[in-house]
Amino acid sequence: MHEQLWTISFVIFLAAVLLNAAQVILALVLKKAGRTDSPGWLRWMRGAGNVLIGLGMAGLTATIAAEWRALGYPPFSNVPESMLWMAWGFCAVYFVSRIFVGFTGMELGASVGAVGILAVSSLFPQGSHPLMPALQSKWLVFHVFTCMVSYGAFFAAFCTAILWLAIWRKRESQKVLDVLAYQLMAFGFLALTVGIISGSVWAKQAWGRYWGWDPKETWSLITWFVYGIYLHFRMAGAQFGVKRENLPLLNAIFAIAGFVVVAFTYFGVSYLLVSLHSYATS
Amino acid sequence: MKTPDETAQDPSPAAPSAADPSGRTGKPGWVRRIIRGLRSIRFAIILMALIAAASLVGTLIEQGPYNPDAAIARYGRALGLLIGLLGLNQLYSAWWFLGLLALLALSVAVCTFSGARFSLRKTFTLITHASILLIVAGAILRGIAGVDGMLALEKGQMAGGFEVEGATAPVPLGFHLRLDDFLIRYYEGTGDSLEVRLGEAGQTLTIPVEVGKVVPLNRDGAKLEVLRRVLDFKMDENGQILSAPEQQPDNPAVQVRLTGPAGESKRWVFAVHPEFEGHAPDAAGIHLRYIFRPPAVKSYESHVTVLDENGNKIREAVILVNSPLNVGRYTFYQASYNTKTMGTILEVTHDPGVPLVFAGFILLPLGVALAFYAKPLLNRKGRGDA
Repeated sequence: MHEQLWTISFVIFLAAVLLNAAQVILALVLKKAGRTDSPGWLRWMRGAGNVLIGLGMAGLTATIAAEWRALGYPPFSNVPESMLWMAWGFCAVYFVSRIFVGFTGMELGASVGAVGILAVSSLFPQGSHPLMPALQSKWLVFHVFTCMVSYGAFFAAFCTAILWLAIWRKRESQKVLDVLAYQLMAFGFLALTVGIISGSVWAKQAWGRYWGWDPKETWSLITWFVYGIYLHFRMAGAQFGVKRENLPLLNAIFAIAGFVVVAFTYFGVSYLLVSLHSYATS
Repeated sequence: MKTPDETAQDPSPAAPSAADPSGRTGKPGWVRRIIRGLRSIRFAIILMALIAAASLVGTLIEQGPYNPDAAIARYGRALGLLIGLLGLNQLYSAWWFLGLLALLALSVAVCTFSGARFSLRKTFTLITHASILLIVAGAILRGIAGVDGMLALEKGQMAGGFEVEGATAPVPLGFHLRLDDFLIRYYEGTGDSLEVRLGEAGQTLTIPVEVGKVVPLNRDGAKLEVLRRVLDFKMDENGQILSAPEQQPDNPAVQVRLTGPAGESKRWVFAVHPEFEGHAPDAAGIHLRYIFRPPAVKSYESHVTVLDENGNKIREAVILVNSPLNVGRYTFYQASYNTKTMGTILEVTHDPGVPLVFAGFILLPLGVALAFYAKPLLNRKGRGDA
């Protein structure tokens, strides 16, 4: 059942990609033709694109619920399961940015990002295993959820930075994207802080110590430091001789480099380094 | 469009205040310079980058006791020697790494407590930084006054102390702990199984491997019984099969007995060599395939009794992973078990830094959230009011 729901969600996100790509292309064509206002049918397309992303997110919610029910425990114990949450967190961050913070025009990026996460998750070995004793804790949901939401936010910042570099660099929109990337990284940093803290409390309960310099723990701390450096750098870039007009470029580079670190923390540690956290490969 | 508040700020080192226009606070010039340096965001950024880079190195180099020959063989002569010189094999306790952490803590402390006048906006940053210092203080307290040790108990055994590395004698608990039983529980439906195919195009049954259990095959009254299971099938020169519980599963095999109208037959079925004997059908056309799969562990349980020093029972408890036992100042964690004797191995800790660390854990996300979301609101309100 959850496999079918996953497929449905994926197809919905794909449809969102197609629709949003079409509306972006049409908007560019209209702009080139000298049209400055946005016709009603284009706004309708944009709205429909957001509806599809919302439906996809609802599909992800149903997938998670169905898998949780089938397994009898929260689906967090391997990479494909946790990436469902990352995709969900990514969509949640997108809608919060759109509805509560006021950033619009990111439909294509959001739908491509969601498809990307689900596509990558399908590359990993599927199939769940019964929860081992170390994972049987009420902290499992809270710790992994907050970490996955933070990864979703960092991925959204990464997508925003790519957009800033590739498409909007010469446009006024780059200021909006710069601010959006900052907001996403700030929120991701907060969520990661909560994720690391909850992981430490859980580690104390399970293993008798908060911190053991386990590779997964260490890399999550490295990730926290990278974004911590970014957040401090926004205040003190001038002290390093960076000109104010170059700060947005440096911020975009931070967003991209930061996500590379996140990706290694998420995948590299599980598959390349031996860790107490190597549940993903079991 | 939201403008990040932080980009409008460029906090420079301590500026002259109205109370002290010269900027001097009675401290010598070199002290002021050191404080300025420690408060500098640039310094903090450099420290964080160094700590992150060093931490990264620690995940790439195997951590543990230094063996020069093994290090040189693995990493080459230059890097192998450098590892020993800098203590990269035990990086996280190396003096220079701890020094970097201490320097960062000092920087955070100076930034938190020095200079600026009180304001509500600065309180948020103060909460964030102070919480980090609380966590560090808790960790230091644990390092100074905490205790970590191990306690191994066999079934029925009682202990009044536990082993601490470096201690000449067991550390007394102040009470006794007795292991009543140690159990490993498995998830049902996991573990070894036999695939039984009845004929070339017949039905396939999957039967869990349980020694001694007779399973009907639903075909002319045929039955299957698992007689024996070994982890590593080997025969000595007399044809005796060698078997021991601590074997590694290099050649798992089960011996089965098939009974039916055609009679009775025994055979060995091998997980690693399905083509050998067991795979070929017997006269009744039954194909067998043994799938070796260690059962999934559901829980490790140490059933214990806590007794006072006179041997009177205080309470009974079950120690599980994620469910430690607290008795007095000590906490007992399910760490491991003895695979031969099925005794339990518990980790015993006393951590006086817990309250400080927990306080830091609560304040840190609060401070970060306030700094990100309340501070800009206050700043905008301030600009609007002006």
